[in-house]
Amino acid sequence: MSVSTKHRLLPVILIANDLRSGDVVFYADEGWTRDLGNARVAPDQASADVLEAAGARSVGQQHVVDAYLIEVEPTRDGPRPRHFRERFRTTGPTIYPHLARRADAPAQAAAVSE
Amino acid sequence: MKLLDRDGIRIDEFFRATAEDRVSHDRLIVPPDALEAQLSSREMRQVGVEVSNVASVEELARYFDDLALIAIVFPAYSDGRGFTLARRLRNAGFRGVLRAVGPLIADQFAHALACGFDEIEAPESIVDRQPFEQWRRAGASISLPYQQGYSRATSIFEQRRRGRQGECNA
Amino acid sequence: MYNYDQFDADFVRERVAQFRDQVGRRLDGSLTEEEFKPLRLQNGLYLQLHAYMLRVAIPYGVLNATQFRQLALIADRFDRGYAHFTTRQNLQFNWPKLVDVPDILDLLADVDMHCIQTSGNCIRNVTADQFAGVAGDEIEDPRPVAELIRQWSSHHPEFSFLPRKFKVAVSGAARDRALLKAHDLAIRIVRNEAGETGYEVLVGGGLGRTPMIGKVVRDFLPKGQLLAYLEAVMRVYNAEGRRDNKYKARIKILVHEIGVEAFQARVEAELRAIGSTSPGDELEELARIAAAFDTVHYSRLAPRSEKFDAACARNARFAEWARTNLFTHRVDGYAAVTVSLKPVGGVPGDMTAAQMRLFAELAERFSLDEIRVTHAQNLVLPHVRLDDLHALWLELVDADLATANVGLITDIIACPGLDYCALATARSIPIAQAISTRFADAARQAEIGPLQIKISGCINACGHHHVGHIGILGLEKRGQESYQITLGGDATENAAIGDLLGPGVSAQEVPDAIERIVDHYLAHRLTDELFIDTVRRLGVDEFRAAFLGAQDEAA
Ligand code: SF4
Repeated sequence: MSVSTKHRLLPVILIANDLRSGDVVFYADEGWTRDLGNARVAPDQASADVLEAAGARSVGQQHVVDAYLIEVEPTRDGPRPRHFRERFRTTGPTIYPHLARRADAPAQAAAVSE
Repeated sequence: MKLLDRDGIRIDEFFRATAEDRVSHDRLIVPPDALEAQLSSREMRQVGVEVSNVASVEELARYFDDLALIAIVFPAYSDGRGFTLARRLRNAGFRGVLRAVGPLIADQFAHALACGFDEIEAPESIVDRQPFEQWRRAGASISLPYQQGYSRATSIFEQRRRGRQGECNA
Repeated sequence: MYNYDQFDADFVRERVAQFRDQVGRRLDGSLTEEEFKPLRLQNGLYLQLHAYMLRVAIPYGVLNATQFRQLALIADRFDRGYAHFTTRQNLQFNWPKLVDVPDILDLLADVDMHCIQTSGNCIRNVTADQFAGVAGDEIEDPRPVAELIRQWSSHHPEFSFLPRKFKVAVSGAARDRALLKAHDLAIRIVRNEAGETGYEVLVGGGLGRTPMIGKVVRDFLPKGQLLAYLEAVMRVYNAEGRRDNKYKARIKILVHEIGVEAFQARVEAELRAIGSTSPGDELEELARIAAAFDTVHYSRLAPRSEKFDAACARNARFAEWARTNLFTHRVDGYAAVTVSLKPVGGVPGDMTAAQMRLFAELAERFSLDEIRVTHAQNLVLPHVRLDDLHALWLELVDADLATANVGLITDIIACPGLDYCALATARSIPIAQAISTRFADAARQAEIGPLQIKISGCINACGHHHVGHIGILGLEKRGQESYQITLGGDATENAAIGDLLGPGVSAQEVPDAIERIVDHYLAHRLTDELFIDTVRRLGVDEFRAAFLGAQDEAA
């Protein structure tokens, strides 16, 4: 993935789409999650490499597609993507409030099976 | 690389050689610059040539009578130039074996056959993931294409035409 | 409506089974994502920012109520209760799951629909004039030709792995309502001096990073020779189109680089290589296709309707809607109604499943069971009796579908942009919403008159911004969304590419910027002069000065 070679600010998290559903997912300690708040934050290069390797593995096992690292800034409510594109990816379309992603929404709470 | 055709995985009886090679094989595939030399060696051989997907049909046409096989290289499976070259070679009258060489996938088998290819030489990594059964299935997934004039014996347009003629005769 | 024969129906079913098999093989790892991607794209399936997106083909924008209901059912059952109409007369579902797509395709096949070639580097869904068969300025109905091309291009063995996508549009009218000159290939049905009808063929139009206007490569192609000609064009493009740079891979770049004459020569050479064809067969097939379209049973009606005139006199809002949203039908006593999907502040082109079901019913009741989709992301009820217009309007009002703004400043084309699209560099829908809210006042819209704003969320130009009277292109500048504004584009037979007005502005500044342009027009127009005509007369430079000057003051 081209993203992995470019210069990146730390910390980062790993984002992808679930292969079967297409849902946006984040890599967490216990596997993939739809809850951004649970995403595992890599504060240094070594842990970013670990995340990236986990992404590549998961792609190889047909669990997710398009896994790549994104820069985040830590906030009280958890990691927040630095780039507006990735922020929109984590919140859902900005035009329909009722379609916004809510981590606590029942349909989206379950972690994706690995 | 593995070779397959309509009937399954096949043993490749052609051997790749250059102009200098003094090989004992009686079936050779050579690069274009070795073609003259191998064809004029007057040995009883079947000679094929491996060309890129932008090769000139006119130049190849000079050798049609002597060529047993033309192998067209696909640099990537998304590069469809090889289909057009195959089609042009068939339009120009080439009747020998046409081989597609490169990372084609099972889902392109029908396209390749229809454009005039007889066989595919694909990397082992692909054929291992996509065993012949998948190629067979993908190749047969559309039983009747619309387009007239491609290798298949008939087409939807042709069937409809026959239907109309039937009506007239009846 | 074209009615499938058994061959068409079997073909679509087999295509569904084929895709089901491909999905299965993707999930079990036989196909890598890299291998699967072109296959799913050729079936209209994208992976977007939040989810998969499935693009359903609506060939040349024509469908019936049964099909429309089925789309509503899919929206409810497999999506989130709404769907989006695109600038290529297609429909998109924004939230399907990969594992559900084969079932969705089967539901589509149940009503003779599919997603074939709505994406990918292949010959795409063929578009046409939304008033085909209805317009008075038409030489001939273009739909049978469009259907012939649809069939011929479906799952083409040779042209499914082209350098890039290939878009075809067809029209049979004098006025261009199908954006012919912005297509890779366009066909215009024309009449020659001998009075025969044939095809004018244009090649090499396209928007995107390098916008170009299509050029005539054959001014009169006799009927019966179309498929051979298309085959020759496609073969030249497939062999010689650039593959080293995806931004230079469209046929427009090939035509531009080698020149029209050289391109024509190559096509003619290819035609000679193809050898003899049988025009008679093509003509017969075209006639069969034309006969497979439903016959529309019009009633014999008077050209004027007292009922309609009375309703207009009684109800100013109705009269206003009738003034903007009606199109003259070639048959006396009928009108074609454009139903705007651009409510003030709404999402251009979106429709809820409930609205879709109601609309299907209206099509049956009022429009001889026919619906059209326009490239401007609106719908058309093509055959409504003048007598019925008021009753129809009342129903549309109830469904929030009676916006009276067709062709006006709030009838904005906007691509999905960064709210959905993985390629986007900025959002487009919220910009459309902000502009339409700013210009919501009906009297002001009427005063401004016809003015087309078109917005794209990236350089790919799905929102046709280059040919908008005012075009807006969303980009990223220093970590922010930024919008470039162009002026003077034209999407008609006088097709023109707009000129850039100046540096990009922020999302918040866009409505003010548009207002400055519009104010300049209102201040300088001659009596009854349209926006685009004032721009042409004064020149873009003068507007640029107004745009930049005011921007300096604001800074
Ligand atoms: S113009 Fe760009 S952002 Fe808009 S739909 Fe097309 S690719 Fe997506």
